[in-house]
Amino acid sequence: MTAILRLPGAPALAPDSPDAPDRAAPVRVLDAGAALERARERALVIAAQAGDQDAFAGLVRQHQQRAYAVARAVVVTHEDAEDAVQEGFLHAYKAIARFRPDQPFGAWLHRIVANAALDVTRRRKVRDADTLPETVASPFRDPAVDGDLRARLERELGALGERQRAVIVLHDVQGFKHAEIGRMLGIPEGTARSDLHHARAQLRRALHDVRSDL
Amino acid sequence: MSQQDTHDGGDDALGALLREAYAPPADPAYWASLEARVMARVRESGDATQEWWQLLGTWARAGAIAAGITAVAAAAALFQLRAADARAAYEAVVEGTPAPTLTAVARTAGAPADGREATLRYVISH
Repeated sequence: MTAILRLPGAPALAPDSPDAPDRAAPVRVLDAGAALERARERALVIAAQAGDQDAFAGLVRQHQQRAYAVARAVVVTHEDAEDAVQEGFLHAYKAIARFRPDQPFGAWLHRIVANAALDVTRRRKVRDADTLPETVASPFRDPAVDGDLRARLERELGALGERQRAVIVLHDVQGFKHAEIGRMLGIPEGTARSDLHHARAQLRRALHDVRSDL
Repeated sequence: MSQQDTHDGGDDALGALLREAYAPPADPAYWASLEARVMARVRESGDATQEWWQLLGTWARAGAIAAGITAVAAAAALFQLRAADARAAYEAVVEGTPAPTLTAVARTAGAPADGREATLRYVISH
C-alpha cells in the first residue's frame, strides 16, 4: 500500500497530473497533522517504556476521553466507567514494556480498558446479587430528556445483554467499526454485526410507541 | 474509527437518543481531575515498567547476599558444634575415667607379686 503525506493546506494533485499516484494502486493519504500526532505518541510510548511517568501522563491526557467512551459503553454507570478507566490505564502502565511502539497505542489501550470494564461489570453483578439497589442506575446525565422516553430507554438498555449494549453504544455512539468492536470485546466481527442488528431492533420495538420516528 | 457503517433514518434517531444518554462530561476540569487520579494510582504502583526478569535480577542479588550470610552462619555453627564435641570427648577422657584407673593401679601396686612375675624377674637377672 502506498502512503502519501499531504501537508495541511496543500492542494490535492489532479488525477491526470504526472505526479498523481497510479489509480490501480491502493493509496492511503495521511494528513500531516495525524502523522505528527502519531510520531509524538510513539515518542511518548518509548519514553514511558523507559520509566518516564510524565510521558505516560501525556498518553493518559491524549487517550482518556476515548478510553472513557469505551468503558462507558460496557458498564452501566458513569462511576463504574471511571473505575474501569483507572484500572485500564494502570494495567496498560504495568504492561507497557511489552507494547510494540510501531502499533497503534489507542487500539491496544481500548482492548485493555474494555477488559477492565467487563471486570468491573462482573464485580458489580456479584455485589448487586447480595444487595438490592435502592435506585436503578441511570445512564442519563441530562435531566431535560423527556421522562417517559428516558425511562423506557433506560429500561430497555438494561434489558439488553451486556455485550449487545456495549456493541450498540460503541458503534452508534462512539463510531467504532465492527472489526474494532470485535477486537475490543474479543468476539468475531460477524458477532458484533449481529449483536448490533438485534440490539437496534429490540430498542426500536420497545421505543416505537413513545417516539414514532424510531 | 469512522461512521463508515451507514444507518437508516430510524437508527440515526436512535443513535441521537443514545448519544444524549451517553454524553461524556464536557468540563475540561473533569478530565484534568481524572488524569490526576489515574496518575496517582500509577505512582502508587511504583516502577512497574520493569519486566519480571529484571525484578528477578534485583531479587537474585539480594538472595545471593542472604545465601552467603546463611552459609557463613552455618559454617560457624558447625565449627562450634565440632569444638564442643571435641571438648566433651576430652573432658570425658580426662575427668570421667581416672578414678577406676588409679584404683586399679593402686590395687596392683599394693598386691603381692605372683609366681609368674617372680619367675620373670629371676630369668632377667640371670
